[in-house]
Amino acid sequence: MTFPIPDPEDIRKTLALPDLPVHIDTGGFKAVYSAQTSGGMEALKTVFIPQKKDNDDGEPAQRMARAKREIEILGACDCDALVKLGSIEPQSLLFSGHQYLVYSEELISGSSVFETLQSSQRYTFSELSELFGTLVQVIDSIASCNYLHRDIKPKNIMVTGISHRPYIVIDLGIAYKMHGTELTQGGGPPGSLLYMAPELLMPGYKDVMDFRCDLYSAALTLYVCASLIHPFAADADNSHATAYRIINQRAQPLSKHRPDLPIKFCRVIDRCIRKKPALRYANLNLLRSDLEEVRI
Amino acid sequence: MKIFAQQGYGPKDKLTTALSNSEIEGVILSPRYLKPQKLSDQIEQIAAHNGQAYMDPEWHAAIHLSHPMSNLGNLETWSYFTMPRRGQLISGAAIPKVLENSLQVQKELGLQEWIAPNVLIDNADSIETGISLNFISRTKEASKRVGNAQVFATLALSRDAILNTKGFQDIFDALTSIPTPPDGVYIVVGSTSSSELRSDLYHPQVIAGWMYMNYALSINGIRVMNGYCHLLTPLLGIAGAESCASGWHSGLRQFVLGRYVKTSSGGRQPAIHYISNALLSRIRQTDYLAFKRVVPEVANSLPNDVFYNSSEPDRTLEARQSWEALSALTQAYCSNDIERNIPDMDNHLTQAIQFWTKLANFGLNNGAEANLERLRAMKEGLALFTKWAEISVDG
Repeated sequence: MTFPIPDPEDIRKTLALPDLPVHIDTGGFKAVYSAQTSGGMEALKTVFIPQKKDNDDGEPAQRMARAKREIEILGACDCDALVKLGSIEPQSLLFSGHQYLVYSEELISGSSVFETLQSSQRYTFSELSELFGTLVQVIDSIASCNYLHRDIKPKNIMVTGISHRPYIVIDLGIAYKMHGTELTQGGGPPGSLLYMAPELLMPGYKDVMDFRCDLYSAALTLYVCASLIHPFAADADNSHATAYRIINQRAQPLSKHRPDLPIKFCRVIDRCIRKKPALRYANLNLLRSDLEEVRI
Repeated sequence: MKIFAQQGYGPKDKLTTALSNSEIEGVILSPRYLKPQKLSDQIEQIAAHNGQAYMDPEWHAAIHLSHPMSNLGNLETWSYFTMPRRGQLISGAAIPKVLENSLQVQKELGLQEWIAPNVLIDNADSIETGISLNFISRTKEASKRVGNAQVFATLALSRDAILNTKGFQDIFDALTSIPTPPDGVYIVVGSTSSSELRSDLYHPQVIAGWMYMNYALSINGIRVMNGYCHLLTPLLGIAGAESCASGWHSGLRQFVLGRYVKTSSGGRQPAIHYISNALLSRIRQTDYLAFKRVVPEVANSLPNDVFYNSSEPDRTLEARQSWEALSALTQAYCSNDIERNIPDMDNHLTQAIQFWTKLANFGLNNGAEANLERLRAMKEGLALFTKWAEISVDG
């Protein structure tokens, strides 16, 4: 779906920025710019809010609410491995007659995990261990604020090259507030099918969603980084076949692809991508302790 | 894994001698058979023999309080044994008080670890499932209000509840996500038939489900104690049980749902049996002597075999031999390596079936048909559990 992307000059004038923002990415209804702000170089986000029509289905309000929720989570979660809010507070602005929600986040340089996988280089144990530790920290932080990320996947994890923050998780656009209101439309669950936990593909998924969905997505990301194989999606596959495999087909033990990795580490990953939530880790401290044992 | 005695009618010296001989490590006491003072005496005796004592409050039986044919024994003499109105259970309003009353009694008895009360789940899709989960999710908080002891929540369910696979597995997705879980869970699975040899608990799905409960809870750091499990003990141990209990008569080897209501059945005293580990079966003393001539492996080659060499032992010795045999089985098959234990137990079951077939070929077929049926159910249950638990046994 396309939407009008704001002109950088309009943005500069409206926000009184010293320089022209540079358009760097577009996704969904969001255009992202790098911009010099009072807080330094930041990622400026503009979320397109369509005009309300008489027969609309509440989409403009939902989109605004989703963006606000993302901002709310970033404000609430004190976690270094999550992208942080920038100096521009969320505000509703008009550019060329269209409404946008505008705010800024820190600008993260580097590549996404997805981009690093294009080099066909499998992650080392040290990288996998670091990445898993980071993702567990993020899941724990979001869950303790009563949210779920719901879209952890290689494209939403940045590899920064910064020693104290080597990986940063971005894009909480479809995050879910536990016991709150669903802000995404349609019958199916939002998120990327390839990394979606099997229980989310079942009817009544909202009743069973908890942090173990995010844990599944994180571990599946690790599995792919370790093996360069997605266990449920062959190339040129259709989504129905993929969904079927996510629900019904077990992944090969990771150790089959990576016999060089510690077996206990592989088993932790295997356990987190089990089909039934009860068989994953219900206690993140247990998971941390198992990971710690592998490091020792 | 620990072997416990499930206490019931007529313990005599069974518990103390078994504890002295390290055939059991603890006892689950029944307030149905013991009034408060007697139970308190039992706790002291068990402690004197370095055993662990627990009390199963059997509170779910309070539903039978107004039943004209209720068979509650001493349960009615216990102060916690009252049933609030159903509406208060559904709303959850009565649950904290029910929990606290029972735990307070256990605290006053001097028990070091407690078992919390709960309702019995007849059907996984019933309202009792919601009530039961509510009890479990409030157990730890209630125990903290009463004192500072490790607490097991009771999970009592009928075998029919396990047969509803989807509903049953959903219970565990919910149970494992409780924010303040109990330290452990005490599992009781109820049979609808009173026949022990052809018990309806020996159904592949029921066996797999019982193992699945042990597995899903234990891998999440929750201790699991199983009541009334007898010959399923090694399978539950493989799945992660911390302890398994069984007793000296059929009503203590399997939990029959109708046990709290009087029936017209009576009958003669059951024969004395020997547990043969190779056959994974209970056999009569005379069969033991005959069978081991054809299949020497029928004898466990454990110290208590000597009780059976000349004539039928008494019931105390029978119970001690049972616990000794179950203990040996768990030592052989319940290491921490489930991926190895499952195929090993599968081989054991295959061999047990072969032994029974060999005995039958020699005309020694007393109990063969029923035992073969049970062993095949155990083998199938083990395979089904492996699938449900998503365990890779081929490495």
